Amino acid sequence: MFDAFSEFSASLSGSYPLLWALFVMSVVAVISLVLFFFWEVFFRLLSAIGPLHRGRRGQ
Amino acid sequence: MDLLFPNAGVAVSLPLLLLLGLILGTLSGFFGVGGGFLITGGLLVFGVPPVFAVGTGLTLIMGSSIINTLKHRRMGNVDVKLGLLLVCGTIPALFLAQWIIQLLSAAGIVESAIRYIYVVVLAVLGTFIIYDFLRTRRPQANQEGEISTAGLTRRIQSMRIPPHSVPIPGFGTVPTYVSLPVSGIERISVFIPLAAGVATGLFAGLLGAGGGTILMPMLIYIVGVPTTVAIGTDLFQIVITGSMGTLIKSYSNEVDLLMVVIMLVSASAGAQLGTAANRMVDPARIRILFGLTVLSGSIAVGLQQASESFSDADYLSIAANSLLLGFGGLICLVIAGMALNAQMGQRGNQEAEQETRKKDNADS
Repeated sequence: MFDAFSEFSASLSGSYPLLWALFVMSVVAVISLVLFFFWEVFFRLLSAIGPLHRGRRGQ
Repeated sequence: MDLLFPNAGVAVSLPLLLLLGLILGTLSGFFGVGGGFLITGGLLVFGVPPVFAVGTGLTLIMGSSIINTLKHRRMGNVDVKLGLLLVCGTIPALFLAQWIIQLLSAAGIVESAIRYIYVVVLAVLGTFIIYDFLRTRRPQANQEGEISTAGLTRRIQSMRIPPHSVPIPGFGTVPTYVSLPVSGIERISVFIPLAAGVATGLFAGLLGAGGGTILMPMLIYIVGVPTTVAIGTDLFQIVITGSMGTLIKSYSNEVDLLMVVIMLVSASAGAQLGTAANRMVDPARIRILFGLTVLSGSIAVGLQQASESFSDADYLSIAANSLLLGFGGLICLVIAGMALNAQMGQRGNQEAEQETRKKDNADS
């Protein structure tokens, strides 16, 4: 998969540099947003599970 | 566990890449800087070719800054109005810096001139931040936690700079003064943030990095923006300027996208620590740690310049990059320690309050 992506990036960046540049920016922006929302959901789940766990221990 | 990156033509250790991303994310979230000097130096130590080190680093900074800006925005630390004013100054200044580089290049002194400027500016900046911290700790400081340039920032905010209004088609005559409520500034001339943006753009354009390094202290010590808002707004500005840099570098095929994605994952984890610690740690401590980081940057660039000036001194270049990486890692540990300490202090206070309430209830 690595090699396939390398070939794809080499051909795109060589033939269509502007398209490649926009592709890079889009990928980075999308991944950044996905990671941001991943951590938001992760910490919300963690804080939701926290009180439940403490309640069970109290019983 | 080395991974081969065919685009950059180099094999790099995966754990080290993830560690570098983690350090960058933490420092970026805590200080509000892009971390260009750290990431470029780190990638060079790993053997990434310089051209790819700069381009890949810049792209990572763009991604890391997006995550940190969104986090700081949730905390109310991003002054979008101020950020847009800054960008209006930064972008033209980047092109001006390019022109200056061409002049210096024609004179054959571009690299050493840039490094000397970098060393001097960072050394002065780092020293001033440390001096400000030590001075404001003294009992006779004006107000607790107030920076030493508080009087200067008040004078700058009250400056009246002509023209006091400009005609804009469709909007009539518009005053050249704005209020920045997020920054707690009632009224300030637009030319001040514009000038700050120009200075940032010149610095970043000439040195290829460090826009955030100069902007963050400028916002705090000259414009008078609170530390946490300066951090958030700085990050917002870096998203925009970083995007421009990413466009240019990837157009020239100087970015290894896979390397960026890998480091972005760990940078996002670092961002959680950095922004969380930023909320818990006293702003004065944030500033002193920033000052120390800037000083280390100055020493590292000085070592880099020395390695260029003397023959058979390549070890100085390795020492420079290793110092940056090592110091960055150390600062991350200090940040984590401070955040943990603050968290335990808060828990202790909460428990003490609960005990007092129980006692009061029992007495009544």
